[in-house]
Amino acid sequence: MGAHISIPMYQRAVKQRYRLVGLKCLKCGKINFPPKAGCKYCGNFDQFEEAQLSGKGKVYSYTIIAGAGAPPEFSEEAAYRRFYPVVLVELDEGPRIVAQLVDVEKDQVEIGMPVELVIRRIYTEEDVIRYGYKFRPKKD
Amino acid sequence: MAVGIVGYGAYLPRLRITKKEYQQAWGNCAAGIKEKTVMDFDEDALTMGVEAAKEALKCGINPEEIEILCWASTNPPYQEKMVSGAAAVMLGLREDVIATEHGQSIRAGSEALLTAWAFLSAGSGRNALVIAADAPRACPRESIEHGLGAGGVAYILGTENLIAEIDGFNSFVNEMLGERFRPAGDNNLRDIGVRAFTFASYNQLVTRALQSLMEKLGRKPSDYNYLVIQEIDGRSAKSVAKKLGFDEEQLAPGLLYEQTGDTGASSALLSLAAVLDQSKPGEKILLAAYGSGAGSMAVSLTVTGAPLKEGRNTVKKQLDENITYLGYAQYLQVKRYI
Repeated sequence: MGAHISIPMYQRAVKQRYRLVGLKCLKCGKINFPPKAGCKYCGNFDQFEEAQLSGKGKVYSYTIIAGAGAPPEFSEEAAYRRFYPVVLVELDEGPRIVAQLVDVEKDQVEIGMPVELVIRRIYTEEDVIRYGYKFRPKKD
Repeated sequence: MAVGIVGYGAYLPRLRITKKEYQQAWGNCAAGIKEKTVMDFDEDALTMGVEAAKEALKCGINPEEIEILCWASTNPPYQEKMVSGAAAVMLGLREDVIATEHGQSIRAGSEALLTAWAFLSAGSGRNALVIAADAPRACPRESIEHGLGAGGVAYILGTENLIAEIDGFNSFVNEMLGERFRPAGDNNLRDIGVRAFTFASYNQLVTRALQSLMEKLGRKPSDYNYLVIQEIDGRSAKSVAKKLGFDEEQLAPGLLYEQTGDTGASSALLSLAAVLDQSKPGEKILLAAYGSGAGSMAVSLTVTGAPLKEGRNTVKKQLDENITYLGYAQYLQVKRYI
């Protein structure tokens, strides 16, 4: 069972998925990512401004997805990779987000390792390429 | 007003396949490579180009200051759909950026560079971003496939704090039948498989561009510190350079084919990046791009004073570090040939 995301739903989140644009709560100062209708930290519903996140963070936790366990939209890639790491990244600005970790062997993934954002193809559905963020070990 | 390069960045994917893998799989390797670059399963020309652009933007130009975007690839993610829109969102560029896209031949990268130069020279903006990224494809049964690599490169052009100034260029077109082409609706490159024919076309068009630009600028080969000739194989660039009276030292810094294979529309500009990585103020660079049997262009540059950023991700670093080698069967999978 895949988590189908329709084209209109993906479209609404293009700026977050392509560039990690979050919402800064002007009441408590915290950054919400992904952006929500209300601030998840203080409940403010109307005072926000867009905030560009740096794309830098650390691995907070991770798992290795085995090929057979991948959702159908990832099945082709999973068949090639056989398994791939999925990480929970704690961004420098605070939010924790889930994404794939690339350019890494599965035994190199460690909690606390510094990572940086990279834009890759996530999957293709209805012949429409879904680009989005992944992470890789930080280069410098 | 001098217009030139204020920043640049290269991106080479970390995957490689060696000549030996081809020899084991097919009995021979038809390309003069030692190894070549290969995109990962989730990469394409757009993602490589964006990586290169992010590296180029480290020169300190803010994405919102980019007023012109010129993109080039012979293998964009969609056969019809602008790439600029996605690239602009990924990089945080303005929505009113003047965008052009180029891709009818491997000369496209150099066309994009000169288009951006022309916009800036006409006063249409202060900073331009040029992105060239490519990963040509052909049927794995064809020998033309053996040399096809992958890479991306980006340049920021501007009018202040120039790393290098563009001081002349030209363009030639001609009709040479049967050289590298891709039929309408086909993903795979072809040629007629006659090397002498390919070389004759390359030699004629590239030589014409280089000679006529040197004449126009009143220069001779010894006036240049570096020569970049777009590489379509392991030897044609060397052969043309020699005939024109350039020596190996002028050509060597820009030779990448042995390690990357043919990086298509990004090729000549990747070689230029490798040259800039080691250039010094006052040096002169002559570049020729080739448009497979139909065109060529030459660009002359003078390296000016702006210092290069320390710790930048040089072409050499990316050629030599953090590499993962693929077997031939893995290569077929990651290229989606099987």
